[in-house]
Amino acid sequence: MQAPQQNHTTASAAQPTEPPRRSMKLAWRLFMAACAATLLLDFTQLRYGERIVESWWGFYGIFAFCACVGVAMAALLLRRLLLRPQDYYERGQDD
Amino acid sequence: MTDFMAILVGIPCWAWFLTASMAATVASGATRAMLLLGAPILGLLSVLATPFGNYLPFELYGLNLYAYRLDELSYPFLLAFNMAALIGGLYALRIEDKLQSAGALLYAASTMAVAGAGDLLSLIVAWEIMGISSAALIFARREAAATAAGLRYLMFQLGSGFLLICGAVGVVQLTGDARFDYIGINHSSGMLIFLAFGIKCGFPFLHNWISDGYPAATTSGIVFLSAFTTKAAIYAMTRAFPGTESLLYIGLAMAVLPMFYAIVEDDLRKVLAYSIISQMGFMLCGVATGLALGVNGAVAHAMNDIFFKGLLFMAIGVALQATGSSCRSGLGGLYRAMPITTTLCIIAAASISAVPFFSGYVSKTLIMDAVLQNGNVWVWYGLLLAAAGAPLYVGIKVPYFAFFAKPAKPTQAGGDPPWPLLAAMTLAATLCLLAGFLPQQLYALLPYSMEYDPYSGSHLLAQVQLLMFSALAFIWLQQRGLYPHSKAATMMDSDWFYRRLAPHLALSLAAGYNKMQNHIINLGGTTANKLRQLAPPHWLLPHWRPTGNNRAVALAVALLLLTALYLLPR
Repeated sequence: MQAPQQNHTTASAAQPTEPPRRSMKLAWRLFMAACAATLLLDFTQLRYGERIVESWWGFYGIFAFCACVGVAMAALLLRRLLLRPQDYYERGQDD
Repeated sequence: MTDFMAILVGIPCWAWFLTASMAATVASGATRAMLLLGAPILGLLSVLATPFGNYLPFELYGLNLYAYRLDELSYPFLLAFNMAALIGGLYALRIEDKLQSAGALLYAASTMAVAGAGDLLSLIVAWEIMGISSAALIFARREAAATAAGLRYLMFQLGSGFLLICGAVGVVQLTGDARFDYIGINHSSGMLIFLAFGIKCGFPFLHNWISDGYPAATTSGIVFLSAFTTKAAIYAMTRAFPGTESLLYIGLAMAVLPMFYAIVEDDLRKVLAYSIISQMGFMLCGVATGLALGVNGAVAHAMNDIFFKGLLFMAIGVALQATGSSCRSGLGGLYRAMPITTTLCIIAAASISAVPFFSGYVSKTLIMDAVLQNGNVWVWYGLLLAAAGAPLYVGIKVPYFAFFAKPAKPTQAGGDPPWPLLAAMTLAATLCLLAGFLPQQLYALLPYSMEYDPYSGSHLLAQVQLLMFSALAFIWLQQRGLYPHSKAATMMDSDWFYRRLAPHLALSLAAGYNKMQNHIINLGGTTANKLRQLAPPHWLLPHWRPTGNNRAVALAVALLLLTALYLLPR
């Protein structure tokens, strides 16, 4: 009688971790779909050509993605150049 | 009520804060709380009751001066400063520290005096007090590291004040007029004032007092700091240097460069300090166009920035007080314990990322369009880069790592903070949402009247697409483990020049001087000993040893010798 009860409790303890992962996957898919939808909306006449890059399809999306990845990569490089130990300035004064 | 408002006409709003700050040096408990809330409420009513014009006229050295001016440009700033003081006062309501409450009130008074100064003399006085009183909010942390950061902060503030005095004297000599209006950079005095304002705007290489000083301040002090100095500097720039082309490129550099630091930085308060500089860059670009649209955009963005940045600092301050850390590596998962704080932080983050229907959007769009109208297409691309990066380095980063990400070690947080802190944050969040949903009400406060619809289909789609894809990039980078992160480390910034290079130079110079002194002393000693040999032995002159008084005597002898050698041939 006791053994199945134990099984039951372990199952319910494992449960809370299971649904978030599934819902995260769903949220991720929904988000991707929304991103795609904004690209599709570019085909409509919502934009009325007041900016130079208006005619380029998906300009803002592609620009934003590339810009963010580029900034992150540049920051990685910059970190390699400029990163010092936390007590860098304090240590400098003792020399 | 109308009788009461009639009494307030012509009273400068800073007078209430000045009185309150003097009282706050002795007041405590309920009295102190009343001072912190009473001054901004009375100040706000005074600004609303007073018609536009010049007040408090006085004459000095034959110059007609006005200590208080309320016009189209100072009005929105004074409104925002009073609201910020109210929010900051609420946030600091329960902090029993006379240095902080008196300092914050004096700081508020001087900032409003800057925005209300009608002449250069009043501006200088207010500018200096603003610099010094604000440092009190850093010193109030009462830690050795904060005191050191406060001194470095003070160095920049006093430097800015010094440049302003020099420039103002030149302008008065040049024009014979001390009114604080358009100055321009066509003459050297104008350049000095431009640089004085530039320091407080956080120009590149002069920005370190923001990223170094602000994170060292107290949790309530930083709410005042983030609202006042930089925005007063934007006011001064808008007044004196609209349409200056070089500002466009300075602003662009300020908008883009801090991103790289903010993205790597571990301390979220430092991330927010860098994001101040980035937003200041946008504002300066707006001022640089000189167009009504651009100046309006700069003013609107300054007003919005006061509230969303203040709210972000308040939310991180709450997390800091609850967990003892403001670092990405020491925070995380707080959303369960602090649902309200988390929601309010997300509102601020959405505002700074310029999500439609939040405050940042309605003002950033103005600046972007003004830059484009001015024909600066490449600057526009640069600003678009900074706008796309905003979610990456602050908009998603700060709420995600503070409240959602899995913490490195379990965090202990009791729950949402007590009511004054929640009230302060809610008030700021309400202003963020109001500006986003009712942009025309915000635009009505701006210096130039204009017809502008931020919610056209074109604008909306562009912005939504931009933000969706930068969020996508954030998630992608985070999943791949490519999002840069540095745990407990120092990123070298331009503070390297005065925190590393200058001390090392000074030390090696001192070592060189010591070496030279020793050489000179030896020269003196050898000369003295040679002279001794020349003298007859029965004089019993002592042998020279390089110790104590002998060293000083030898130095004097050597210097006399050198002087003599230098003078002899003539």
